[in-house]
Amino acid sequence: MLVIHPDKIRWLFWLRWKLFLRGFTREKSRIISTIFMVVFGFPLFAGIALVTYIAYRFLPAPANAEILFLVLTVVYLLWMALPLLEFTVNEGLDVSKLLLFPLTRSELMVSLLFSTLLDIPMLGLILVFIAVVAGWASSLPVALLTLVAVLIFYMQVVGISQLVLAALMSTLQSRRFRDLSIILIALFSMSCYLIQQLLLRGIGTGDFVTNIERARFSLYLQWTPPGMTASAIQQASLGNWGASFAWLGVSLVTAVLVLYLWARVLERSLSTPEVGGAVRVRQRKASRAAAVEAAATATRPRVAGGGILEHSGFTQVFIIAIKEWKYFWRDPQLKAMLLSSLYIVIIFLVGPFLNPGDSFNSLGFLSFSAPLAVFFSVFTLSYNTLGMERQSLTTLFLFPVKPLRILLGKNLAVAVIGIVELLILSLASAALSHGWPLVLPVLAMGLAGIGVVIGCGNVSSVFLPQRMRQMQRGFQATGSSSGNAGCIRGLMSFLMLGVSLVVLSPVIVALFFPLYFHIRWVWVFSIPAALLYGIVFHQLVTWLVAPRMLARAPEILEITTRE
Amino acid sequence: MTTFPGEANTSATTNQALQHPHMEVSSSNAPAIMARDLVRVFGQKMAVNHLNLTVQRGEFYGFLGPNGAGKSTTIKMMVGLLRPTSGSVWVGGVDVWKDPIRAHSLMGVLPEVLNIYERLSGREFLVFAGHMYGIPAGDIRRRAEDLLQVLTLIDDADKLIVDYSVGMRKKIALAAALIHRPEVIFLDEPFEGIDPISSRVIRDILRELTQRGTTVFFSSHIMEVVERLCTRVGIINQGTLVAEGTLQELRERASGEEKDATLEDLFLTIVGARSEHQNLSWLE
Repeated sequence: MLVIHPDKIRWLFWLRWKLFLRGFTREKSRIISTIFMVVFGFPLFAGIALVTYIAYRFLPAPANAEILFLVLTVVYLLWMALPLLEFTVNEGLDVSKLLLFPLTRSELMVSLLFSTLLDIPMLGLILVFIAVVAGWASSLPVALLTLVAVLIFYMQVVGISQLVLAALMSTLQSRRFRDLSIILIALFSMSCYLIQQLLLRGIGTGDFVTNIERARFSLYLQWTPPGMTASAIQQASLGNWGASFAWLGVSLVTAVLVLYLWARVLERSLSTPEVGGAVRVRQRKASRAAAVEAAATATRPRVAGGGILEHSGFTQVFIIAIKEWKYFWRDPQLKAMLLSSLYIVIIFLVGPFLNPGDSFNSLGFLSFSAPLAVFFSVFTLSYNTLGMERQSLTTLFLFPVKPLRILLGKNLAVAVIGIVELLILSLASAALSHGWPLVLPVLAMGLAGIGVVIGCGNVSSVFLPQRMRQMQRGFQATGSSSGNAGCIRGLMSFLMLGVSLVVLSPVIVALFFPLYFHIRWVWVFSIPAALLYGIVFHQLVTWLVAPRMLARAPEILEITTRE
Repeated sequence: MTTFPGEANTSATTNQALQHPHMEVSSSNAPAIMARDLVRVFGQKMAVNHLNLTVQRGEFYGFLGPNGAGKSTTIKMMVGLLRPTSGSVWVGGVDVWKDPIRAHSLMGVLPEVLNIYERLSGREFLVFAGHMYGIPAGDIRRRAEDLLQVLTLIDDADKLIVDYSVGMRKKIALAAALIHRPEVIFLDEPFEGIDPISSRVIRDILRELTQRGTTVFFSSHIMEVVERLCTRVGIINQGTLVAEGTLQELRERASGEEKDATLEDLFLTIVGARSEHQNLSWLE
């Protein structure tokens, strides 16, 4: 039954507006991320809108329609897929809270449609839609029909994204899917450079316009929801009003169907007991007598002489390192960071082949790029080593472990990763450039660099710890390590990177200059000196910093564990 | 023996113990927990106001107070997670803020918000905790298996903690807090969000531990549990310890008509939260 009270819609929109504003007042960092989104996102969408407008207006007749089919299909697919990867509880779209009130299905759907207007990415989409209307407005009737078609398409886009979201709610809430999506988004973000390189080459090699003109995407796409909208606009522009209205009608029916399905799926998912992510707790028979007996055994006093602080320090260091490796593997946020650090290594390895004419690809530069890649990779994993613990840092600080052992355990974990990367990279670059004579100085520079970076990382972790928000999905997870920590802290970590480079400069001078000035015999002295420098720097800095970590524990916790 | 302010030199024993790691610092004569003039200020708000508190060894001490009274803040300061604005805390005779590592070796903590390593399995977390407390490897395995068995987690021991229910998380955190056989256990709302079966198991273990000399300091909103378990109760309101004693002592201090009152009645009277009839006539 189509019962809609405008007053209720108004109040529902007021609710969404309040939540939208509160998001900024409650979380100041959101203002900065929104500014970034507007500064970088708006030009992107405006650029897409401008390019597509020009294509609709100035490309010859079949090609401009093909572009329209492609654009609407991409928008449709993106809006279907992206919410899956960036799923969070959007209070404005959270119907479960609204179901407590006497609202009709129509009121809920209409209010939800209006609510989407306050989603910032949707504003970018509106720019793309404006380009469609402006690009196809060859006359007033065509402009009006295009406007109506685009509005119906807007309903379809919102409806399908929410339908997919509601239908896969239980899967989306499962821990495994959340973990997977964080890693997928990280991989997607990282692969942008490679995709961009491949795309540019693809566009640059052939005649793009000729290819588009010859293409017949519309033959297949016209039977899809975005294709129906595009067909309606295309037929109107050709003066086939009958066909145009027919496509428009089908498009409207599809939109209504999608919205109806959305409402049905939502109602069903809200009335079904939640199973996703829930853990079945089995009832076990444990008699009280047995429990108390076992508790007594478990908590038997220690034997004389078994003081708990006499445990081997190395065991604790090693156990902490194992815990770190397990976390790098099992925690999707840390795994994403590890992958991004590996990505730096891959780019350094693949980069010279993407730009074969570059003068920097000489024997020496290629080989010495290996330790540089490892330097950045290790920096990513070590500059906020305490913040990366997130909430668990409280537990770590409650254990009676000497702070030096905590730092050494964490350093060991990162150093091993760095050394493995260094070995692979230096051997690969030597094999590719036949630079085997440079392997030793390259390894020395890498090892010294690891020592320096990890040492500097200990300083920044203790004195400039950053909050890394717990377990968010999609783009929010990848941006959380610095975005929510504030620009100043981001700048401080950038400063730390510079400091690390300055500290490393004697090593660079000692190992790279002999190659540049053809005085390789200097390596006999400079290689051991560089290694010694890296080790001594790390040990000295860590010894100095560790006691401060213990003294600053509450302050570090206040910064890193605040939610 | 470690002494306290106003008695004798505190640092002498601690320094001596640091030089001889085999020696336990904790003195058998020192109170299990002692807080003196503990203050914590957040901006304009005094969350904890000159709190003085002494808990003797083997006591089961219940720490009560309405929401926002300062219970969790006090516990955080006692375990070394939140720096007091002023004042001192000793656990087992060790100054928590001067010698945190040694103090932490004497205590087990179950915080209100469980910040445990969710990406480790239950068994892995216990083994990790055991190593962090410096227990020999053989003992860690045995104790971990015993605790998993007792707390009915053995079937889920190899599952990641992130997949545990709230009750299971509480139990694994409790197991980690017990694995080194602490002298003092701090529990912040241990029974919140857990089922009656788990609650019963935990209560039995805690009672058994106090009978063996362990001190339990816990905060809870569940008055029946506090009434049944605690040997002594402290009530905090607006950052100030407003009442302290056994249940009998609290009743005796109460006015005539509350001589047979329950802990809940006493608590409501002490914090001044007796319900008053509101004017909701429009409901009729």
